[in-house]
Amino acid sequence: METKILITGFEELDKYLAEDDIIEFYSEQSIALDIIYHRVLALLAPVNLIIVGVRGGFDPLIFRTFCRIFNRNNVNLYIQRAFKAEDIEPTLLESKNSLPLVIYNPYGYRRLYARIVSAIKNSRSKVLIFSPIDRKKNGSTLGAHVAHSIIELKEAKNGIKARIIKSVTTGPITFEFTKGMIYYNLRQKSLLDWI
Amino acid sequence: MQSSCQVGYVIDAIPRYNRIELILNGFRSVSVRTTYPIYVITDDPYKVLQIPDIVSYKEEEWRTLDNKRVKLYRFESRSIEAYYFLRDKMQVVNEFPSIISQTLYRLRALPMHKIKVENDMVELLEEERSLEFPEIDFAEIELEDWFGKSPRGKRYNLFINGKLRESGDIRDLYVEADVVECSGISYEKAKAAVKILKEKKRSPVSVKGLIEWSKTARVPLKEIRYATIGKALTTNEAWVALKKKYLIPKVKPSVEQNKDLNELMFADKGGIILFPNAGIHENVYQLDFSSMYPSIIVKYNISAETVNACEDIVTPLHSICLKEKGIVPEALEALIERKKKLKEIDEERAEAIKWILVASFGYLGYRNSKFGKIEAYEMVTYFARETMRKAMAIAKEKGLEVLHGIVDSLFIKGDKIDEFIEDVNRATGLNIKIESEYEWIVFTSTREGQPHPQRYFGKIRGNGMKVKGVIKENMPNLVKDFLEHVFKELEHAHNASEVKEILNSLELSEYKRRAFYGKPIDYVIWIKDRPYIKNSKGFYAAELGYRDHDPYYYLAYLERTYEDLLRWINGD
Repeated sequence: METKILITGFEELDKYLAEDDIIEFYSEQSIALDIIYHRVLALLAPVNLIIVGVRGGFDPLIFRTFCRIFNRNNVNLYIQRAFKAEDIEPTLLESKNSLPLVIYNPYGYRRLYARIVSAIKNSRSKVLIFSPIDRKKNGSTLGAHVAHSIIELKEAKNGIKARIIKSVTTGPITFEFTKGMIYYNLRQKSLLDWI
Repeated sequence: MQSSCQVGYVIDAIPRYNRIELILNGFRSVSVRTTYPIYVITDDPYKVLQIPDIVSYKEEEWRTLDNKRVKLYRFESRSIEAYYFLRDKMQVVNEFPSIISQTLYRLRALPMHKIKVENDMVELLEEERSLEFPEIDFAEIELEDWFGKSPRGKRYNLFINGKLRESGDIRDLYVEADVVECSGISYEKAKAAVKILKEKKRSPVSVKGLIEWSKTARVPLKEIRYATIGKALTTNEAWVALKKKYLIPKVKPSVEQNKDLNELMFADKGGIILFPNAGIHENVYQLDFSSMYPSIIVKYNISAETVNACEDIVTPLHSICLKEKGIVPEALEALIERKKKLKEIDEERAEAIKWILVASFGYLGYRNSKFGKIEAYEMVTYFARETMRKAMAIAKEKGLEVLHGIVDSLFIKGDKIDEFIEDVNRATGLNIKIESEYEWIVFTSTREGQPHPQRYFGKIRGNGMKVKGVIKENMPNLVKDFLEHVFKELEHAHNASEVKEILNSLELSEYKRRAFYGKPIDYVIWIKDRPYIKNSKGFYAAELGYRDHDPYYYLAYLERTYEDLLRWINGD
C-alpha cells in the first residue's frame, strides 16, 4: 500500500517532494511564505524548528489556527533561536534527533554560507528550509546545490502559486492553491470528480 | 622638554615603540616604558616569536564561559603594530578592554585618575575608581539657530565645567580645555586633548557622564566617547572576566536550549505592565523597586556562565548556580554601589551610571553581548514578574488598591504604606521605596478609550508636578507651550475638583491667536531630531527658514490637545 507522506498537505506537490531530504521554499512575498511555512509546521509537527533572526520568524496564532484546521491540537514544536550568524552552525549541529528539521531564514545574515550549508548537509533528518531570499537573484551563493528541491512561492489572485524551480524527479511545474485549499483544506477537484 | 616628575590626570594615551605616551590634563604629556600584552590561542608560539617586536611569552590556562579549560599564550610586544598584525592572522583573544586599556591598567596609569610619573615609574595617587571627579577642564559647545539647537547654528553657548561661560557669534568662538564636546562647525574651533562631536555620539550621557564612564570603566575617553551604553557595560564586565581568567572571545556563538512551544511562550515575556483605570485619582503613592533588574541579577547571581550550570536555584524555566559569583552580577554590584554613593555627591554622574544599569538587563539578551545569554535574560524577566506579583498580592492582603503597575513601579492607593513597604522588602529581598506621593494623579487614555500605561501626570505633595509621556517630542512648540502652561496652572490644584475647575475654566484665546499670528518658532515640530513646519502643502524643513504655516493645522492640534485633557479628567 502506498504511504501518504505529508509535507505541505497538497498531494500534487507533496508527491514530488516525498523522497527529498533537503527541501527549500522561498519567497520574497512574506504572506505567501508565512502561510505555507506555518501550514507545513502544523502538518509536520512535532518538528525541530530553528528560527534565524532577532525578531519574527514564527507566529503562534497562525500555527495554532492551522493546527485547528488539520485537527492536530496536541502537537508540539521544539524551538531554538539563532540570533546571529555565528549561532546558526552550532545550533544546527546540536539538533541531532530524528525529528524533521525546519529552518526559517538560514541565509538571512548573508554570511558564513559555507559553514551553514555544511551543517544543513550533515543533518541526519529531513530538512525543510523557508527562506525570504530570492533564489533567482542569489542562486549559487546560498547553497542552492544542497537542496534537493527548491520551490518558489508567490501570491496569486485567489491563493498561492508554488513553482518547482529545482527537483531531482521533475522539471519546472507550477501549482496554484486556492484560499479554500489553504485555509479549509479543500481538495482540488480532478476530472474523476466530475464523472 | 619633559620634566622628570609629572603629576596629573590621565586624559588619553598614545602607543609608541616600547613606550606609551600619557596625555595629562593641561596639555602635558609624559611617556613611560612598557610592553603590550597580546593573548593568542596557538599550538606554535615560536611562529609568533619570529615577529621582531615580540620580546617574551608565557603559557597560561584560562577558561571559557562554558567552563572549559583553554591553553593560550600571552606575548609581550614592544609595539602595538604587532597586535594589529597578529589580529588578522591568528586567533587573538582578550581584546576587550582594548590592549591600550590593559597596558594602562598594568602600569596603574588609569584613565581619569591622578597619577605621578617619575623615572618611568607610575604611581596612582588616588584609590582605583575613587568617587572624586578629576580636576580637569571640560567644555561643551551648543550651537543655536532660530528654531533651537542645531549643528548648523550660527550662535554658540559655551559651557565650561558645566557652567555657562559665554554666548556669541560662532565666528568669535575659540576654546581650550582638556575635553570638549562640540557640535557641527565648532569642532574646528576647539583645542582639546579629546574632542567629542555631539552628532557622532551614540549614548545619552553628557560630557561629564562620559568622563565618569571613562573613570569607572578604566578605558581612555577616546575609546568610549562614541560608544553605546552596551560597550560601557561590557567593558566593566570584561575587567571582572579578566580578573577571573575567563577568556573573552571576539564573537561568542550561543546555542539556545531547546524549548517546546509552551515553554517558549512562558519564557519569552517581558515585565508586568498593567492597564490603569483611566481618569483622576486622589492620594496615590508611586512605589519603585530601586534598580530592580540589576538588583535581581545580583541577588540571584544571573550571568551567562551561572544559568543552567548547576541546580542551586531551580525555577520552572532554568536553574542557577550559586557556587561562584557570576561576571555580570559582580560587575553590576560595583556599579549599583557606585550609583548609590554618587547620588549623594553628583546627580549628573549618578545618571551616567544609571544608564549603564538600565541597559544591563536588556544587554544580557542581546545577541552580540559577550557575557549574556538568552536564558539569563529570561530568568531576569521571570524574577521581575514574580517580584511584582508578590508585591501586588501583599497590597491586596493589606487592603490597598493597586491602580497601576509598570515593570518595577506600582501606583497604590490606601493607608498602611509603611507596613506594605516593610513586608515587600522582606518577601522579595529587594528594596522598594516611595518614589512620589501624589495629591492627585491622572491616568490618560486614547480617544478609543484604551488606557495609556506610560502617560500620566499628577501633583506631587509639596513638590510640583510630574508629567510622563504627555508632552511629546514631536508636538508643535505652540502645543508644548500650552501644555507647560496648563501643568503650571495645575500645580495650584490640591484635589480632583480643583483640577476640573482649573481645566474647565482655562482660557485658550492667547494660544489660538498664536496659531495665526505667533512667532515662527511656535510652529516648529521636531521629528527624529529635525525641525519641520507644516504649511498648506505639507511639512518643510525649518532649517531652510520660515516661509509660511498652516494656522488651521496648529489650531486643530491645540483644540484636540485641550479636548484630550478634558476627556481625561472628566472621564468621558
